[in-house]
Amino acid sequence: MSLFLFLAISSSLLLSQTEEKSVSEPFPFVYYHLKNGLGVILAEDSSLPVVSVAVAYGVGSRQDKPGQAGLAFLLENLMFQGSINVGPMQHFSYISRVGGRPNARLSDDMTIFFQTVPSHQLPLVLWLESDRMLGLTISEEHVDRARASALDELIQRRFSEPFFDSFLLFDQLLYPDFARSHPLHGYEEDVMSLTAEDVRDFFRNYYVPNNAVLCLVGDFNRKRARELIEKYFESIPKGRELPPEPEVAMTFKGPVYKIYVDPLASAPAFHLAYRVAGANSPDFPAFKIMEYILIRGKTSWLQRRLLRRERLVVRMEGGLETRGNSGFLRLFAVVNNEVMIDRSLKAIDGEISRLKSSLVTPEELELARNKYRADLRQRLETTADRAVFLSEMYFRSPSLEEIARMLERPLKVTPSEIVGLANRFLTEENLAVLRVRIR
Amino acid sequence: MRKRLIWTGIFLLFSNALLSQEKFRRVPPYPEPIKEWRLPRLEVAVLSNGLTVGVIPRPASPWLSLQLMLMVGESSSPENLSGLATLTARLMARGTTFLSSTDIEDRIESIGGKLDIYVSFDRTFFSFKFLKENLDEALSLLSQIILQPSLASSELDAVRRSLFYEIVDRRKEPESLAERQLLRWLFKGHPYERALFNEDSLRLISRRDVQAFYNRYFRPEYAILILGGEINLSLASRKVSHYFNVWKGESSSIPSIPVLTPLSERNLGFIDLPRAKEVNIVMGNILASHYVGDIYPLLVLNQVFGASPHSRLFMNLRETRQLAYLAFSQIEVFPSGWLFLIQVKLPPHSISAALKEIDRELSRLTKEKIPAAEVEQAKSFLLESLPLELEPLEAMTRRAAEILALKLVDDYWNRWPENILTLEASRIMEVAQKLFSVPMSVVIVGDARLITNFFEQSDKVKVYDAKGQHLYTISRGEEK
Repeated sequence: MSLFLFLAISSSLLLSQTEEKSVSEPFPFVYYHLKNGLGVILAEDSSLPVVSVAVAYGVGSRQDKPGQAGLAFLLENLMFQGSINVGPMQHFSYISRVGGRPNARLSDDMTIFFQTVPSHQLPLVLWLESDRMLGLTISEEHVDRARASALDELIQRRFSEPFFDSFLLFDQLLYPDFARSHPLHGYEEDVMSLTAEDVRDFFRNYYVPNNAVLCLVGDFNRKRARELIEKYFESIPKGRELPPEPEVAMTFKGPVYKIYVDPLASAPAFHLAYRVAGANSPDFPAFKIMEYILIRGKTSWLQRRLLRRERLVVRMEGGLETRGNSGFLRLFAVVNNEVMIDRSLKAIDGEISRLKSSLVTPEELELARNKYRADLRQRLETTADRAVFLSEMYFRSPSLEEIARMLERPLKVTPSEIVGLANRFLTEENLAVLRVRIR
Repeated sequence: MRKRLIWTGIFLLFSNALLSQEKFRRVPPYPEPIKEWRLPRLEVAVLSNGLTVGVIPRPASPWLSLQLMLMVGESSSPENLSGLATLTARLMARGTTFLSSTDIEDRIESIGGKLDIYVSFDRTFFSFKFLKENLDEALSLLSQIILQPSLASSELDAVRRSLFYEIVDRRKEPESLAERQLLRWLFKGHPYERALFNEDSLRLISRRDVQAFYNRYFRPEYAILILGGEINLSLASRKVSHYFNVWKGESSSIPSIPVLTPLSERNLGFIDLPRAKEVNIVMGNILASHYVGDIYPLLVLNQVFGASPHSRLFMNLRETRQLAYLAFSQIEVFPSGWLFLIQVKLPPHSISAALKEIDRELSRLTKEKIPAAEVEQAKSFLLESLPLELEPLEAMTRRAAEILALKLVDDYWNRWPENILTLEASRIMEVAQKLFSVPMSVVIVGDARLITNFFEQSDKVKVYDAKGQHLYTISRGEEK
């Protein structure tokens, strides 16, 4: 290829900043891409003089390699330890000095950094976020410090938090593959062996504009915001294109019954899960409603029976969990004694049988829909909530135009769909139970 | 050769662009012009039965946040039945004349709602958030809870049990243990002491006590109802009046609470928490002022001293001397007095040095005028962070209810920016000298085995159990 042809192609690529597209539901926003591939989402809301800025990277604990469990977690921590023009912990310091609250959240498929500040401080946040996207300080000393803090947290939790290890063990029972089963904060031995070079590689591969989205929600002038975004982010070099992640096959095979003795627990407990459809399945919306019927909220069948009516459990939590293409309806409950575990399992079985054998009533379905609707609006309450929500949707929904339609789908689920799926999925072959005994 | 020159040219072109960009990256940018912002107008009406209704607009919010606040709290519980106010308020949501506990839960969740009940020293909050299209259902339900509670004996035991578990859980939290012990000293003999109840008094409370408390204190003239969201005062008054007009008032005045007075001597207490790696210190005293004009200098003073990670306390104890992990201060404003608290989390070997530094910082406030730049920074922070603090709708309505109860709408709510902006260092120092001349009492919670050095250096440390029982005193390492 001649040099001139190469330059012509390169320049056309460089100029390929995309046109702004508008979306009106579930709330108005526009989105576009910078020349370097960075996704940008802008949602204006001038009801208060505040702005939330989220930067999400399409990388999570799933990208940790065997032997390097905890790398994504370590890097999340290092993002506050300084970048080209920002000293260690100065990001935190700059934001809190103007009354803001910096935050970060790591999941299996994403890492999000977000903060809310007074709206006139928008340039400061864009400067800070662009600086750490452009170049993070990853020296041996920084990694040592981050590693020590990560290990400290890990050890602290393992040796002081009852049931902590039982959650890790149950994850391994549900997800036999390393990518989805290893804990977000890794294993002690893996964290100990991570080097600065491992961290640099990870940063170079995944913390790049073409694997990230910048989302602004709040009180700003769109034209001015675009100017600032262009100034701070457009010159950040694009990273190499990442090959699509191969889908990990779902290998769970039930029934699985295990017992674990927890030296820290002062009361027995149990974990229970049914394998259901993953987030991309057309059946998923029905499981979303099933989650509200069975587990979510004080009026759910299991909370009402186990916690209130028969007082079999002391406390319980759970819901629908998805990792990649897998989904589980999960439940964890603490009981007073082991006899209560048997009684609880029998009661759960009773409620599942009810779901399988008769149609949920219109009132029950309406209640589940209302709870779902309210939770959804709760997820969008503050500017930070909306910035995080849109960032998640950027990576998790097929397209941003599809969000509203996707969110509406559970509201159209029928009682017969629920009965059908309950019979297909809530079976012995899809069941896992882990009993937690006290020492 | 020609190719190499072209590549070099391209590199220089791009590197020049990058270098010129590097300039603006080197230092933090200036903020954009600041917009003037005021708290949204708080409109108030009083219904014919004495119930005060207030509205705070938040256009386009899908939620309505309702705060029903009674100006009655644990301080109104009889002396031997502390906990009665909490038990009564919680029991009210566990059944009405026509609705069972389960029905109430169904109704709340069917309108996308969440009802929290919280009782403090002198207030009771029914905090209800629901989707705006369900205003009628929400008010109908709340009016039944407030006006027709069944106060059933069967539910009383369940509420008592859940409160018992909360008390037991709280004893595992070192911050809570330390703060409660400090408050036991500060509120000794005052009705506020009753808010520090434990399981012993809960056992004594009967259904008849609950009914009597309800009959005496749940009156519209003691209540303020604030609605925040997409609503106006005219609609709010009409709807609230429709559902609450049968709530009969008796034009009685709100129970008065004696004024709190500062402790004149410093107490030093310790609670043993075996296996605790860290130490928690809580210290404080009552501030002797009721003059509303002192609140604003006090807030700036607290901002300079310890309210944020940039305040003197945090910067000195954590950043400069590495004596503590966290160090903050706060001010609580009650109708009967103001409370100043300092909370520190630190390693066991730092106790003596940290206490010395805290005393030094407190003393600086009364002896040295705060530099103008520090005052301006604190004022900017207070002004700019308020919208962030009040972004959640419940935070806004809760604050409005408290301000309304303290009768500070005109002075505080409507004149917040002016009250802060006009403050000068001399006025702040005047308030510091007036209020901070009192000694701060100290409670330390940690593992006794790890802080023997501190005991050896101290003249008199009173040792307490988690329920506030004085066990013994240590003097220079010796038990007495």
